[in-house]
Amino acid sequence: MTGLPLLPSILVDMVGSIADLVFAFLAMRYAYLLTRKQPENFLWSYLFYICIAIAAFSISRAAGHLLKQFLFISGNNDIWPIISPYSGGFNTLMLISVSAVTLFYHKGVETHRVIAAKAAKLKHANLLLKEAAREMKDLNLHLEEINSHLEEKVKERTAELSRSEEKFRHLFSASKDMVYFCNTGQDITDINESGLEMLGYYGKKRPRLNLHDIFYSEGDLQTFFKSMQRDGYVKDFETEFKRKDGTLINVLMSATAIRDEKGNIVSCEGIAKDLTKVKTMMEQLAASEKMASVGQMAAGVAHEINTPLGIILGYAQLMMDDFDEDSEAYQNLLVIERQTKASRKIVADLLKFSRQTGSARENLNINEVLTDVVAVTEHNLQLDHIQVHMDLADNLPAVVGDAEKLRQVFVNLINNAHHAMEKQGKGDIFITSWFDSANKQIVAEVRDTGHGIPADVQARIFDPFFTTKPVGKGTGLGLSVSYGIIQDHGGNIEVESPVVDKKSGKKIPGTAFRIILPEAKDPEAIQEKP
Amino acid sequence: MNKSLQQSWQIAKAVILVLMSMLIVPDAAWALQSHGPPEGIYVHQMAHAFFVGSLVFLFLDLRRSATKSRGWIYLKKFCLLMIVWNVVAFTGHAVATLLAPRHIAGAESFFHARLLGPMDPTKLIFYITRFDHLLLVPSLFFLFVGLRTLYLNVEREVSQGGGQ
Repeated sequence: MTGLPLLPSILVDMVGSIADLVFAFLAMRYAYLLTRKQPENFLWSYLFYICIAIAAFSISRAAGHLLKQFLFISGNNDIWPIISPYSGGFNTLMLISVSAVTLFYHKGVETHRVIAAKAAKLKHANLLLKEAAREMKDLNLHLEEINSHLEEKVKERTAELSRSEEKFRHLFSASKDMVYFCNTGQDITDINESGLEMLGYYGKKRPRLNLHDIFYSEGDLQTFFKSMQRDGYVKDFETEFKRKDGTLINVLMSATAIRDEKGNIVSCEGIAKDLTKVKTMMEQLAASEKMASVGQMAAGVAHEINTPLGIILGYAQLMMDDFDEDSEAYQNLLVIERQTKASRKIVADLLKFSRQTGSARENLNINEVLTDVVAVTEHNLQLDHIQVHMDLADNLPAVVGDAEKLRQVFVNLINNAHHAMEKQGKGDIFITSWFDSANKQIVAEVRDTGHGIPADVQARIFDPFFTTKPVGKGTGLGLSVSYGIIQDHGGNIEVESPVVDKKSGKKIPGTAFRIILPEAKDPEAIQEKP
Repeated sequence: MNKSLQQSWQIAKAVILVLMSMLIVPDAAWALQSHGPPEGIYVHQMAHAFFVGSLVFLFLDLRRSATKSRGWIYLKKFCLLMIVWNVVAFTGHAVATLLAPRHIAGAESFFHARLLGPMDPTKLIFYITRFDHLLLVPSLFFLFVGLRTLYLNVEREVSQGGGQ
């Protein structure tokens, strides 16, 4: 028999159909695994769809072929023609499906490529964003570091500023001199407590002050302004400030103008020192110098005059023996004798003033001296209705001095007080003593309620021969001599007229003389004296 | 409902009514086209041609766009083998139509069936094309190997932290 056996092709068909199924499903499995591994990758999804279609195609083909072979092997050849159209149709359908799915691969890939390109762009943008975020983070860290350093620096500088501010604030508030700040309107914008006290303002309420209010002299103020405008500062400028109560104080001021960037003065700051006490002391020193020179001159003159006066008196008394008491010559000689004696008394006073006379020193209780003086003078005072009030401190320390001379001083002061109140027909004399423990001085004050001493006269009252009394009533040597005696005792005389009451601050008419004497270094000596 | 929608709905109702009346009263003028015996094989052959076209398109696209990694090379081989298989199958189906049942003897036993001689080119081509699985199985094998390779590459990339 010629021909070819179909058995090999039948066997290949059966085995091949099974192998088709196996490989198709294995391919589908891996396609599925790819979609699970990268679900966002469209390409894997697409390959998975192709694999599904191929698997379905394999089933349709393999199932049909295997069924056909089994039907033919089993001898049921007549069944196959019935199934064949369905198997073939299904197979054709699957073939078309696979073709359709495969054909769409191109579009799918194109779409995927576009998406992938956009995804890549997005990824790149994300990377750039991440990079930018990282750079921002680094920058932030750097900034935080800088901030941290900055904060530390700020804290440090703030602490320094605070310390500096505290230091200068303390200097401002604790200064015993006036420290002030003013604006262009000459308003004092800030002033320390010492400044306010210097101007007589006490209490918590701070007054609104202007330089015009405190400068006494308008001329000085103009000079001050001109100097500030011209030089930008004022140094050691002496002027007078007007206090709240109207009294004047001498001040030494320095000030500096503060300018803006254009050079315009925007404010000023300055310091003023109260020189009133210094000036008073200077005046007293000058007076003291003057008195000392006058005293020396007076001593010289007195010494020179004393001898001729003694000769004149001697010869006058000798000549008086030669004339009858009723004679005119005798009477003339008597006048010469009297006037010569008066002149000698003046000379003696001058010598006392210039401390040229001898002096006995002992420990004294000043209260006893005052009591002695009042005992002697009280009678005359009462005749003019002048009352003496004594307020003497107990346990007053002793002073070293000449009791007689000190009595003379107090007699002088009481007599002056008497004369000051004589015209009034009445008055009071207050005699007070106390111990100034701070300066270790004994103070004795004689105060009257008389007419007081005019301010322009006060500087001259200790000058020799200066008197406001009528001619013949005073020689003008009383206070000069007293001044000399107290100076000789190492003390000082102060005068206050009118008197300012320490408690109320009010001015009381009258004059107060204060004798200030140093405390004795050996207080035991006073007890030895009865 | 506005006026235009109401008009559309009226037209739709008229069309549905006409179609339903056609079903109730069939007529020869409305008969569907009949599909005789040769149509099945023609459709099947056209499906093969369509599949070839799709595979050629896929192959060209893979060659143009896909990377040179081993997985994609396997997939291209799958395409080529599958194209060849389609050609073989198409040829087999075409040649089969030329053979008459008398050219195959298999009455005594299916395993002993034979292509009867004398042999001519038609019969030889028919005989050879019956071994089409020798192309189809390798083709599907390359599909499987290609996808497996792609999967293993992806898995390696993921495990190495490369991501997609």
